[in-house]
Amino acid sequence: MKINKLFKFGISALVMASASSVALAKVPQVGDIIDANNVNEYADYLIESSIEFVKKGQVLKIVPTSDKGALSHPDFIEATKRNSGKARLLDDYGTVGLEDGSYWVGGLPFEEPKSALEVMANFQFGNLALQGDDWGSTVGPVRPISRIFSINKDGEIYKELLFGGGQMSMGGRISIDPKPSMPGHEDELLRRYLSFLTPYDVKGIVTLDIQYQDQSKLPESYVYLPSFRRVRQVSTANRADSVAGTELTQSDLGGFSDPLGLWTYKTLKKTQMLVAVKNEVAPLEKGAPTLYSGYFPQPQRLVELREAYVIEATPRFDTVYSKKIMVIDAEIYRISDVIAYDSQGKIFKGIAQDWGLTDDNHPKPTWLLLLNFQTGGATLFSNHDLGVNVDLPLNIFNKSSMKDFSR
Amino acid sequence: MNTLFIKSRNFIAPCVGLVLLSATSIAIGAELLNGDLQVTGFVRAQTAISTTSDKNTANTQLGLSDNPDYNLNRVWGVVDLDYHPTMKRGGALDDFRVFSRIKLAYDLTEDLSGGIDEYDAFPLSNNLKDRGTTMSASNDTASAEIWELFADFKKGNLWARLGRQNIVWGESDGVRLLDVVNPLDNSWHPFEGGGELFDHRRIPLWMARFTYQLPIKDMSVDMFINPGDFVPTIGNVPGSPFNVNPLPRNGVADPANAGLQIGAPDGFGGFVPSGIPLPPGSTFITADDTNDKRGDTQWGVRLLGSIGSFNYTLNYLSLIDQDGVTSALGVIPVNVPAGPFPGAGAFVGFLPILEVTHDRLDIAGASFNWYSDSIATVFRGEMSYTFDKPFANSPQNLVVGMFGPINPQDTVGVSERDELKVMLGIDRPTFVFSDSRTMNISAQIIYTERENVNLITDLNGANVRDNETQVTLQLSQPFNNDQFFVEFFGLYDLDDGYWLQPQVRWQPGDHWRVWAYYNAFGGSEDETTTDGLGTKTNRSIAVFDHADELNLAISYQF
Repeated sequence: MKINKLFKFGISALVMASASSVALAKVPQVGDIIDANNVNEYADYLIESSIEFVKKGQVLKIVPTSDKGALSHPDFIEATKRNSGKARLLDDYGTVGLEDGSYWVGGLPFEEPKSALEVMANFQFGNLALQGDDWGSTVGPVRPISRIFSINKDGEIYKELLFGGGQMSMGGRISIDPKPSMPGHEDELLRRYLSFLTPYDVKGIVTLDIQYQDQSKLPESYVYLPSFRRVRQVSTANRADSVAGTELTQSDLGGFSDPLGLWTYKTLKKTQMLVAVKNEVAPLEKGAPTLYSGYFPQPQRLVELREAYVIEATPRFDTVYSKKIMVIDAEIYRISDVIAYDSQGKIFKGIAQDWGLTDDNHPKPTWLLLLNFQTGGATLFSNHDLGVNVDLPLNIFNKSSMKDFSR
Repeated sequence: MNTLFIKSRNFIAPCVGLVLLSATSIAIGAELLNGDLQVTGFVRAQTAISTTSDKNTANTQLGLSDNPDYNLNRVWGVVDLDYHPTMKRGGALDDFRVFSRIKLAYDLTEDLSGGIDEYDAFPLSNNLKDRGTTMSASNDTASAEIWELFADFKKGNLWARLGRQNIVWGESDGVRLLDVVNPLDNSWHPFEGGGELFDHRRIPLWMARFTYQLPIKDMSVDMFINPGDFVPTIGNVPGSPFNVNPLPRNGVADPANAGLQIGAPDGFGGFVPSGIPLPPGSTFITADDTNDKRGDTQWGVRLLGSIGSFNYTLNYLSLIDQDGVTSALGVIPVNVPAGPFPGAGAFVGFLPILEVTHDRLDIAGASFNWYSDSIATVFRGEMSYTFDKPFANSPQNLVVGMFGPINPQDTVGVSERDELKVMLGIDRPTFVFSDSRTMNISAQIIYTERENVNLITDLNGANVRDNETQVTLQLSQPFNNDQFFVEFFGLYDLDDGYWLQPQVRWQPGDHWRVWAYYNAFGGSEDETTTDGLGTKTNRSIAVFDHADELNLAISYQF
């Protein structure tokens, strides 16, 4: 009798709960504005960090979903088609190549990924190189392109780093000769230098990173210190180390910047999500950015309702994160949002990556906001003058060229 | 090392200076010419408060004050002008740039410190022929210098830097093996903290440097030629708190006049001999070839290559010995001058005649760095081999026979000996106090071996060691989003000498930088050891044990 009563109450409660959840859940519509008052209605389309951002004051605006192909460069689309079906995972770490064991030749490797690792391989080739063969300042290799702002828990900017830089793909090259790889550098995925310009005590510091095709291999990293006037090799093993005291770690650049082999991946779902793929507020070269609600560089973050993967990454190495959950667009394989959990499994950091497009339709990362939910500190990374396929010379990516940028 | 105490009576004075500096720091970094010209720099006030009552024996032997309240009080700054226009692709040059660093300094050490005599705080170009190459103007307390001035050119795989510049080769921190292209200005604060141990002391030279990228991955040739801008190591002058050389250095003098120094005029045109024999250590430097070497070419070449994360260099340098060798030419008898006074012409003693020579050095070397993934550690190493390095012969060589010295030739002049230096080091960032910011841990061991060095002497007359070993440890832990650093540098000489430098740095925001660090020196200053080759007196960094100091610095950068 008692059990029957409990059962009846239970059924009634379930019915009421589903009814109320049907009432709360909302299918996102173009034009909807999502703020702290209604974010729970869109919870199915956002990951936890995105909801927390909105609760802290970020405003999302749903814009029309871009047409297929509208967010990609034609060369990249063509290379993806040309090389369709040729890609293989060469190992369990995510190294991508061809049937004969040579490395990947360009475009998205897996048009229909069959595993989370293949999604991540697509992310790597579709995202890191911005669908081009190099990127850097449109004005010259030493000109500033990026700024990093450190923001305290009161929403005040207390430090700013200004730097130039450039990156060259060594493999998977599709637009600029030599293609598909740089002779002599076939085992490398890319080289990237950064040249720090301000504040004064970091001026002249130049870094060079070399990432390998082999995804089980850590990058090589070098730093030229002007006060020492020499190039030093530095350890790349401490992926959780802060970048210049910011909330960013070596793992967090662009949302996810580790060799794929350092993590294992699981697809939590592939579904319609609210994804930031194209925003309007471009970062400025000078002056402090206007921060809304203390952290957010845009009055409204534009999001589209798009098919996306929600990927869970679990580290194979000892780090401060127990896992990361990433929202990766299922057409263009760009990261939109990331949440990182600490070693106790508590929500730790949220990352929001915003994108723009260059004049010739290359993707351009504009703002990256990383908020530490536990301390309230944040880091805002902006790129104000970043061009793709600017045809940088190979010789500026050599170790002995690092001094050339400095004194 | 003595117990730490601050004996300054004028502690307030430098503090007032710092406050004034803060109030007047209105310099602002600027971008001119559409961003092609960057103007940046800093202004800094710096004080080193002496915390020991140990006397500087080098100054004592020269009859100078030897116990300063401050080792350093200085307000100084640099302005960097960096002109870097954007070049058109396919033009005559791929890249072009002009850089200049201007350094201005005002030294207040004498003004604010008791226990110190007058001395020249900026002696860099004092005795140089054609001193215009240093592009400096200075007196005893103020200095203005165009410290660096060079132009960079790049075309294809060739890069060139022409002008007054510094070149650093090698892998060592805090010690110099292959980093010997530029001499040091040790009259600048020689124990700087904040990672600036050598940066403001390396004297830029007029050189042409070329780097050519070979058509092999990460392989290049780097070479320089110095067409004649030889500058020796600049030491601290007598009277300076950091002077370690007890030899009088009043320039080259004629020993024939030496006797005039013994005694005093009697006021009636005569001369009264003092009756005091020449004080120990009295010498006369009769010749110094520094200016003869001005104009001699120096050059070096190195090959850089990589095998994966193993990077190596092979080096060869043809340089002129910057430190120089002070050796005896012989002795001359000194008599009281002839004259109508008692004791005229009397024999007073023997005066050593010294000369300073700077011979050409041929140095071969190599260096490497290699990163091991498995233990997350960077290994680095460096080696230099100097052929026939000159050392001064020691008076201890003298063998006296029945009829007097039988080998005076072994006590004068220089002997040439090969010298090998090897450094092995590691760098390992490690999470220690924080799980989000590593502590950088670096350690080095430096070993020096000299060929058959028995009975040769160093600059100060102490015997050169046939081998020596130092170890260094460097720690740096950032806190609070890299706004606060706790750091440590330590050097230990196995022959019993040490230098410890604990440091804290505060870096709030982008403009203000504040340092506090302590320099502690200790060990056996002159330890005598005996081995199969005889008895030797070792001189380590312990000679600076009179220089324990608390350093405070505040800097505004723009």
